[in-house]
Amino acid sequence: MNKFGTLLKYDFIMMLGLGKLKAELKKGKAKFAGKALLGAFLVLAVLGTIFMYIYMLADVLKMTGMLDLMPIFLQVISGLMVFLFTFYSAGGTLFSFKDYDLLLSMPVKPRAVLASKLVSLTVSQLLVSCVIMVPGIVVYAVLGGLSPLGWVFGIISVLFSPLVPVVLASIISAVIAAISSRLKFKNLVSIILSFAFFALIMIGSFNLQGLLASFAANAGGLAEGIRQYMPFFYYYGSAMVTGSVLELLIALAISAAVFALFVWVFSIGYKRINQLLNERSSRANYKLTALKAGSPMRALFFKELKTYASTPIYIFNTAFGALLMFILTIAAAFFGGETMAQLLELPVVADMMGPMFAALLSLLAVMSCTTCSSISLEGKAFYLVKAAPVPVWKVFAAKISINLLITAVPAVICAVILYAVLGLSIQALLILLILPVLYSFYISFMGLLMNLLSPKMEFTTPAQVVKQSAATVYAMLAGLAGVAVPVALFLLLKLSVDFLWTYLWLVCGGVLLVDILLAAVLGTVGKKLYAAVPA
Amino acid sequence: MLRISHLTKIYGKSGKKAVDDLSLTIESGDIFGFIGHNGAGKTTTIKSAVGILDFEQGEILVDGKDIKKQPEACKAVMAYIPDNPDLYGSLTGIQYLNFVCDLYGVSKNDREQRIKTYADAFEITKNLGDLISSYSHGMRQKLAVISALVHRPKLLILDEPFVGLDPTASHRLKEMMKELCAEGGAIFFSTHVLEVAEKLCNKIAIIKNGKLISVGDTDTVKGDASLEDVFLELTGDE
Repeated sequence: MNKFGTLLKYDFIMMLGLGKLKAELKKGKAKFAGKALLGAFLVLAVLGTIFMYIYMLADVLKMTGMLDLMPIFLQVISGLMVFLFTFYSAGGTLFSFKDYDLLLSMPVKPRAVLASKLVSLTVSQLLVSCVIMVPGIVVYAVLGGLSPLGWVFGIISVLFSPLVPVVLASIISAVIAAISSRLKFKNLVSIILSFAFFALIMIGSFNLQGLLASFAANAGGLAEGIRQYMPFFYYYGSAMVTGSVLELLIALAISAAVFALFVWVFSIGYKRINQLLNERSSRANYKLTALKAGSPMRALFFKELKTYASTPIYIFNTAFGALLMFILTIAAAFFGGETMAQLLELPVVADMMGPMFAALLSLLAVMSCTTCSSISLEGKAFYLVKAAPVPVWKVFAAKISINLLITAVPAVICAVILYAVLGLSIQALLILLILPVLYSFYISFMGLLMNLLSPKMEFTTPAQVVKQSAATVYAMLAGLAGVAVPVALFLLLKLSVDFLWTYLWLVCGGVLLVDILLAAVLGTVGKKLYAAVPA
Repeated sequence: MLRISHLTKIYGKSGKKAVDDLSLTIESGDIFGFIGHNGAGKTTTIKSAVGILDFEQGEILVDGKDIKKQPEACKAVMAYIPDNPDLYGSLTGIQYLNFVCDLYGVSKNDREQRIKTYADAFEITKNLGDLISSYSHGMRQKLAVISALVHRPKLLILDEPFVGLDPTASHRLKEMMKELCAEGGAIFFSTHVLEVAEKLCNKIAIIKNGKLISVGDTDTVKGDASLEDVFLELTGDE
């Protein structure tokens, strides 16, 4: 096997975690099967949601007789998602990766190293591509019909269309990293970019029907624009519909050319680029000044805050609940409660605004969990806190405080604004204040417990902890269950709307009891689990 | 200062003993060297003594207090530096030192004076304003040492403390270790550099496969031979 092939083989072994799989199987097949089932369930849930959105798009296009443009638009959507996901991971995969020194010291050309890393990165984004394209191709085939050749071309496009967005994202990521490594604003740029993109999606989804109608009216023009400015997406999509081998070859040729050009250009200065990216801003001009003394609790809190603020993926994965709270509140201020209820497809009933927004704020609170990663993110520095003379409850309190900062605090602010702009009753204000705060404590405690039960102390990037750990999944499910159970009970028991306020106060009491129980568990079992986490 | 009695640590379902019935005592003024081959149980012993690793059997007393029953009181008088210490990369050097001082309750005046003393001694004062993520390995090691000394521990526990330190810094650290012991403190450290252990330590313990095979005054342990010869003889072909 040539060197490129050897590098690629070991990249795949590490990427797929085949070594870890063996270790997981050794721990117990039942546990492994459980995790695999949970993973499969989540994948199906995500696919189902995307399927629903794609079906809506296809429906609109079919009504305007433009269904054949759907594969093109799917390519663009898939490409955008791949671009965004690559933006986060490109830096640590193509440049500044852990084994850079080791590989470059071996008799391997930088070109082969870069090419193997780029292929690995593209393969890792195939999941993103599949998640969009597979449901999309199925929907298109069902609604419009797809020839056998179209299916083949579709599969080929799933495999190769991510190449161009991966390369573009890698270039932009590298440029930003190179500039900001001296200016210390890379994290801020990443966070702002991600939130702006996410906010656009959320605002768009509020007006999805309107957007789709506008989209359908301009679909032809859009497709022509894509052909002009993003021909690789256009020809992949069009080839599926027309069955044109020429169009597919054009698309593949563009992908291959971009890939080859990137590898050729960047491999020339590969060492210099890595050196530039690895240079850390260092002024080395500090002079000792008066220092401030503080309490251990304050020190732990600010350490947690610094860790949170300096990890973009941590912020993006956890703070969007708070962002949505503010978007919801601002939208309610502009459009009014009734319009909001219609947009969210909820029943509009007088005196329901308070309970409706209380439930929404609570749902958004449980979607934002920092504590489920907070122990794991200590990583190899965990010994610092463990060896320090601080009671475990203070360590817990500092981590919980960060979670409350991004859930309870925005919830209270939004509650006050909603009360003011919607003219709600005092009882509604109380429910708006109390219920989301109780759920904020719930998810904070639950997340911490989940992380203590499933810590992941060894990781290469924070993303592995924040997005891919078992604790994150368990906390998310527990959070959703915490809100879904009272809602389901209300519906199953067919309780009258007249009973709603009483029911809400009962739910508050129930969540409070659960919070007290979780706090007690953390104070007893939690301490033992903490002691057992390796440092 | 530190009394480890019949310490046993078992890992995994197989019941493998990483440390097996280990007992040793470190008095005030001791610089106690802990040597053994890779995987012998040095780090397990050290982590158990520091209170960051739970153990199945035995007792560890720090300044007369049980590490399991009064962990905070024990940790308040100890400082620990692991081998290859990982620090908080998102903090600057001075922020990290302040953080440690806050955790150990070091007063404003004391921390200002001690940080200046140690940072000047290790020549990293000008780097304290930079992020730890920009530090070299040696600078992180120096910062870790300063963070351990800044709260004036009675017991200093170190795992391979000289790795990554330049000769000047190594020399300074040795001087500081002697000063700490002269003031009534004690040091317990593991090292693979037997020459350093031989010159610096007044007591030595040799561990093999989780068991202590030799412990006592350095001169008694090594006799007329060098510590290296004694170590190789006792540990066999490991």
